Amino acid sequence: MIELDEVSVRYGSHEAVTPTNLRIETGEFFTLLGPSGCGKTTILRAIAGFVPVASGRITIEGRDVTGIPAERRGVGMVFQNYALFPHMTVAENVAFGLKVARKSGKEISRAVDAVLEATGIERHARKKPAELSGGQQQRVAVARSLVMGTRVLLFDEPLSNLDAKVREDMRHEIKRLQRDVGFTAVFVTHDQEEALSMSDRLLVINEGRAEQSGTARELYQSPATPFVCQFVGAANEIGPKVARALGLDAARRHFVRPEHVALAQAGDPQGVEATVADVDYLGSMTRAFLDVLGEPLQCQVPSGPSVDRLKAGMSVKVNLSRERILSFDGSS
Amino acid sequence: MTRNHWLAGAMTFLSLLGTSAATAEPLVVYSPQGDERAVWIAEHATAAGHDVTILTAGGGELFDRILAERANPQADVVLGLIDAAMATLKAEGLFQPYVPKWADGLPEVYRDDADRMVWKFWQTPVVIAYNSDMLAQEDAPASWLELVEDRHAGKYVIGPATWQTTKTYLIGMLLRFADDGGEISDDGWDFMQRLYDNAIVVDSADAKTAAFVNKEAVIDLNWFGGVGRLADDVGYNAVMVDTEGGTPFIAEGIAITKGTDQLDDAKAFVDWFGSAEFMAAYAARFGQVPVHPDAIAAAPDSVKRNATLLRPQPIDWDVVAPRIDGWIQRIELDIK
Amino acid sequence: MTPSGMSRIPLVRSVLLVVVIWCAASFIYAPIFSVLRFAFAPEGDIGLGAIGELAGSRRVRTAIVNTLVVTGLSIITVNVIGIFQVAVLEYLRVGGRGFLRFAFLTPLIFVSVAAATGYGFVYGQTGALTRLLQSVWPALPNDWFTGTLAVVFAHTFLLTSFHFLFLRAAIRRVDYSTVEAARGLGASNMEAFARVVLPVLLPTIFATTLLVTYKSLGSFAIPSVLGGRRFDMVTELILTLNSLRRPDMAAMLSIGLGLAVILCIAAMQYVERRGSYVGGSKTPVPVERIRISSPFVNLAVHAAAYAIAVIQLIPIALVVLFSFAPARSIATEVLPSSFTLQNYVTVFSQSTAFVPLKNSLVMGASATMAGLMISLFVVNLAHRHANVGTTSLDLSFMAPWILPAPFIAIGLILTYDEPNLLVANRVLLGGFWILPIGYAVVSIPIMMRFLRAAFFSLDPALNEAAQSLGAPAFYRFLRVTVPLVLPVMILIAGMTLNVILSEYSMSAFLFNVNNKPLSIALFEGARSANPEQAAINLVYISLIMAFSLGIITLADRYGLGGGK
Ligand SMILES: Nc1ncnc2c1ncn2[C@@H]1O[C@H](COP(=O)(O)OP(=O)(O)OP(=O)(O)O)[C@@H](O)[C@H]1O
Ligand SMILES: [Mg+2]
Repeated sequence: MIELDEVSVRYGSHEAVTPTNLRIETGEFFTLLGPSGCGKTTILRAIAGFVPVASGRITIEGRDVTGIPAERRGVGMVFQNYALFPHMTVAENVAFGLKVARKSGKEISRAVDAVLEATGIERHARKKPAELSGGQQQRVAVARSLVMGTRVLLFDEPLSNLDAKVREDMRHEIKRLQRDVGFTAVFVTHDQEEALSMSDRLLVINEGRAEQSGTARELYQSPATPFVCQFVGAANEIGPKVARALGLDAARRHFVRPEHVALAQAGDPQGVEATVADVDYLGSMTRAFLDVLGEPLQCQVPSGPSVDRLKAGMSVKVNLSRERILSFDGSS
Repeated sequence: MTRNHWLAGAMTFLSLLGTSAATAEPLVVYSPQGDERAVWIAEHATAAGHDVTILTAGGGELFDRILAERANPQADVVLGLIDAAMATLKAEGLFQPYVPKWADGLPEVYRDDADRMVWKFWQTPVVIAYNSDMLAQEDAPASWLELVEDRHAGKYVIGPATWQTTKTYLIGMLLRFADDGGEISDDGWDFMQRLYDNAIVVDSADAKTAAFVNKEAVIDLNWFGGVGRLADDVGYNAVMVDTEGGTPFIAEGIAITKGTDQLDDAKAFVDWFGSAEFMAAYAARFGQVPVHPDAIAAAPDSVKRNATLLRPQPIDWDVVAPRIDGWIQRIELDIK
Repeated sequence: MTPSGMSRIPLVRSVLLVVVIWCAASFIYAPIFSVLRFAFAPEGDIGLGAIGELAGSRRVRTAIVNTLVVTGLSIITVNVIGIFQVAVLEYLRVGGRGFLRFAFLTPLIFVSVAAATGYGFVYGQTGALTRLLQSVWPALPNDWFTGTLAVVFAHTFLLTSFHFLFLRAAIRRVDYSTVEAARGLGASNMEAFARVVLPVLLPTIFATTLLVTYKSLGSFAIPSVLGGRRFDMVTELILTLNSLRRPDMAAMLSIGLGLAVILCIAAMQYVERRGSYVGGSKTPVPVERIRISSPFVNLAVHAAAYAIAVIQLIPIALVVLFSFAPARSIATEVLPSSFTLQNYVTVFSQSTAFVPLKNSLVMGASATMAGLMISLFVVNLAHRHANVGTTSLDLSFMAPWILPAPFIAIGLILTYDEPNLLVANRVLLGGFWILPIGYAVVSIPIMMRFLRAAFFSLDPALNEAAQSLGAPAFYRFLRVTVPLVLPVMILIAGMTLNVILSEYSMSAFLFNVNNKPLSIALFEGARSANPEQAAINLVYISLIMAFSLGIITLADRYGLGGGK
């Protein structure tokens, strides 16, 4: 279990991470999600010990590691570019940590062989990193930490260097390894699809602040803040005129997801009058940009014969069901 | 292991500081005598029971070095620097008084009765010689002052003014233009300018030799022993001129360094070195002319003859020494 | 990690830090201070007497004039030749490009006193070329190759290395589409070059010009060997003043030279900074070499290019050829008629001939090693912990970059010609180590520049990866950082050793009987009428060139310095 207790990080006068509390369970696949520059890497590096915390306490498996240098935290890290030592072979890269720990030669080679096999790169043991593909390099990077018996592995956007196909494969690969070996994974990404599909639980971060943590479903269905609401999945903020028309509390902010906006024909007795401003055809789905009482609203509906008729300038009716509307206090 | 490498590296670096300063057991003698002569002296010294190490280098360099080491003298005895250099070192307070056993009977000019520090043991004239294969006697200069004549243009070589030999003949010529207070007249400096304008000027011994090999130079301004050596090296017959107005002589001295920790050994060495027996033996071996009458008497006939070959130009080095730097500087910076 | 290892890390680091700070204080600050003290307050009272005396000396005045004249002329001639060479190699289609490239590269391997003696050997009094020219033109005097003519000529063909390195790199960054655009608008090849290419190159040309100025102002070996009678440049005068025991005047003159050099470097940095904004297009189309349409111009360009190549190659070819010739054929034959390895055998078997080579290798190797260790330590420290302390340490060691070698040499002489507490009350002058110390001091800035570049191109994640695998700082430094910068370090070591083998400026001031280096032996040998000595010199020069060529080929492969 990794615990962050009121942890904050500063770069000079800039508070990159405001006091944050976080619990990551042992064996969990946990993701830090947030826009670029929000502090994901910083939190990860604080856990790894590469940046000192300004306040708070970090404990790993019950051990307070706050003041302990990175090399003695027993936390593995997989870097975005993998950071394999270019002057060492794959086997030497993997053996590095064991050598530091002064393990015997026999012990080292046994452990290295085992982990290379487990990660499926035993064939490349004698190669230099430059001779490997991105996916293979990543396996080496993971193997290098796993061989140490590391129970916590930190990943900083490890998939961003890969092309779409390999990326897809590697997601599964990492998940499989994590499940098989049973290590705790802390994963950083700004790709919400990646985050939602891989994680047991996530933390959404915004401008150095922890917004909400929970399972993907919780975050999507019951976002705690407007930011989470908009960042996890898409959401329309309902404008004041539409809100008044719907009888919503004017002191609060209201959101609705595009897929929860229902369209009806212009003559439909129910709903609010709207004009189609533009239509994007996305294949299985169609996205319509609407003008409702002079305020923009997006809707996303499954493509179909009736939807295909939508055209810019058409008049339609919009239905927003109350239970689909997500409301937050105005201050937040 | 790698860590030790680093430490070793640091230690290596610290050793850049220099070699150990621990005083060596043997007596350290600084001398400008060339290789062969230094070895010969050392061998004979050892045979006579003196444990010495002779450090040889050019005269100018040794002089600088002794000055530089003044706070931490490495030499116990300085041997063979010429009059002006010894006078300056003495004036700098680097020597220790000692009257050697052979001081008795030494002619006045080679003694140091005032300070009892520097004692001269042999002398060398600095002469004009010419390549008699190329130049007839009547075409050769008869005096130093004649060198500026057109007919000698480009036929003689002036070496670096830092050489003892060069310094000596330049001073010898300048002194002919000195007033009673030792000041050189404008005529003197004009003469010096013409002397340089008329000469081949070189800055190394090799370049000087080259000028003679190329047959450009036929007149050699050199110390007595150097004349024959150059002529042999290049392959010509040299004839020395007994110049009108006299030939400057340089005498080499010996002195004990102030602060030596082997004073007794140093005294013993000085006594042995200047003794008539060793001086005569050296004269027999290298043709060097000693100054002590007893040594001359014991020397071979050829050396006896050389002792009276040339008329000396009288020079009072104690007066001249403090002015030399200024003169050489003026020659180097304005005339050369 | 063993406990003993843990405690040793900071100890090693602190010891090294103390050593390095001591080095900076002793061999950089103390010498600079000595120069200033002797120049402005030789007797303890502040005064400018030295300036008056310098101005009063005829020889000093002529030397300053000579230096300025030579520099002015060299700037013009080096630029003409250098720009033409670059155009021939990179802009025009000229036959035999590989051959020309090699010829134009030779200033990189034929440097300093080796080049000067090489030129002296072929153009000098008994030189093969002098005799060749005399057979065509009997009136030519033996010593025709002296003074301003000889020095500027040598500069012209020896200082084009900066053009070869930097201007060629710059022209390759020119966007060829701009040339095509100009030609589409009706400009001829030459017009396009003058109007479009040259302006883009201008900042680089200006920077190379300043480098030539810097080199020419401090030129030492070339005027010493080739200048001849009554031709001095400023550096030679500093040496003379020093040997006349006028440290005040020597220090003052070296300050003057230093100011001129600093001015050059400041101007260069200004241009560099401005030049970086010029930036071409993002995806430049590489320059295509242009066929010269006019047959007459084409012929002229070919003729000029080959003439320059021949001028640059002949001294080298003759030096190498004659190094394999019997000594007696030197100064008697235009081309050797028989060949032998005897000269090489002599150099390696005769102690007097081998000693200077050995001295230079020992001093070069120790200066390089010490310099590398200091550079590595300082650069690593400044890289990892950037703060006022480490930055000023870094800048301290960079300082000699803007000071001419004679300045530092005079400083070292004035500081260590008497016992100095900084070095445990020893006298360094006259000893073996003063020269390698000088070599190290002037080599460190360039080492640091390359090392710093290497450190900045290192991925910091590698270090962190090692850290997260449990490796402590010193282990990471040795097992990750050092191996990664090792190729650069080896190259820098090679290049430094290469420079030191023919280093003349420092050597001329600081050498003595105990450490006479190769460059001084070359210099002295150049004056000798003894063909054996000349033969030994030729072997030295050939060895130096072979070593340089090896280093440059290596550097080229690693993409450092020299270039394809
Ligand atoms: N070494 C540093 N010094 C100063 N500020 C830093 C440093 N590293 C990061 N920051 C700042 O801290 C904030 C958080 O940076 P961080 O790298 O943690 O963001 P991130 O969420 O990982 O972003 P990305 O998705 O772009 O990687 C940013 O505003 C960044 O500019
Ligand atoms: Mg990041």
